[in-house]
Amino acid sequence: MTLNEKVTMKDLLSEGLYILMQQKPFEKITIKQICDKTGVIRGTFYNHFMDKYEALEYLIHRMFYKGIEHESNPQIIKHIFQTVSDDRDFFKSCYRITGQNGFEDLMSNVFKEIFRNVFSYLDVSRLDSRFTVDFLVDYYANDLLYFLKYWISRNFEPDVETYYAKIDILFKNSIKELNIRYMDKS
Amino acid sequence: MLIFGILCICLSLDVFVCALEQGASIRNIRFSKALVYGLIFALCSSGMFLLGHGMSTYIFGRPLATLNKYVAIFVFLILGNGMIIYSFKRGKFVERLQEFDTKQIIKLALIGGLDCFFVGVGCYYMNLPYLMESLVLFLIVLAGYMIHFYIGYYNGARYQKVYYFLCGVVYLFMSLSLIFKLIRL
Repeated sequence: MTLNEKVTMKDLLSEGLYILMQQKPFEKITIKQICDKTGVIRGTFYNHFMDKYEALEYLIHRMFYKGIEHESNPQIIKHIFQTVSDDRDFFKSCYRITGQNGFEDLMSNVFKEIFRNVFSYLDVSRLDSRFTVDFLVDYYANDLLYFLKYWISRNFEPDVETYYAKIDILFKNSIKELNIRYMDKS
Repeated sequence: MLIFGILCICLSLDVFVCALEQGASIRNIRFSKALVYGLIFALCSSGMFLLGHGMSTYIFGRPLATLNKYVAIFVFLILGNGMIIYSFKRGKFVERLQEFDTKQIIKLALIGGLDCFFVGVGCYYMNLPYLMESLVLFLIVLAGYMIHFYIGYYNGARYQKVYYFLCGVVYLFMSLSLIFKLIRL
């Protein structure tokens, strides 16, 4: 069974938000509109989410994991790029959400959770004692956030396969292993 | 009489904004909850108004009686400007679940009642019937709070900036009308 097969009230509410985001900017969407779209009352929304930002975070999390069997699957990163590429307009509009509850902060939280899941799948017993899993999770989440933003700003060029292949190399190799050497300028 | 009525509504407008936002932030709405919160806001607003009036009567009033309308003009001018500036500078309200307790509501009601206090001070110098004013204020705040609490829950919080702007304009209008009255005299 994939993660998205069991439809819950949270899913319905986030679907409502998704439909509304196709019609108007996120800032203009109210909880009443989400409730009307889903056919529930305000209390039901608050039983599942604190605010619309939390609903958006859930929606994105759900989109990224759609069709993924295990939360710890390292293939998730490629899947993220594919999902963003498939729903370009939606993610472009998401990046317009700035300010205190900006989209980048939200994505950072989503990515941290994803990397935490990925790290739980990896064997970290022989990890260098100077690094902690939390540190690495932060590091890779912010890297991924940057790569994604850069890609969107470049209008999704190059295609998913080529771009992911590049990122995969960067994720899996250190500077030393990329054949970068100090130049003797003298 | 007109000034009396306008003043009551004007003093309640910021409470209405509070009610809208609180209504939009609660999980479940109950009549008893709306009534209790409304009573707290109504008591604080009319109480602060009476306090302001009492202070100007017994502390500042007699020795400063010659200043009479100047104080009222000053109070309305400051409040009017403050409200208009606040209506532009106010950030966008984000509907977010909040659990209010009575202590928090009293704190918010006291903060919201500050303008009532200052208007109470100004009101002494305008020779308005203060007891009647505070009673009408109590009733308007109570009824208005409950109505706006329900509106906030069912329709969400909107137009807060308009409320503040309107409030500021009315205060400014009152100060200007007092200035004109003073010049004519």
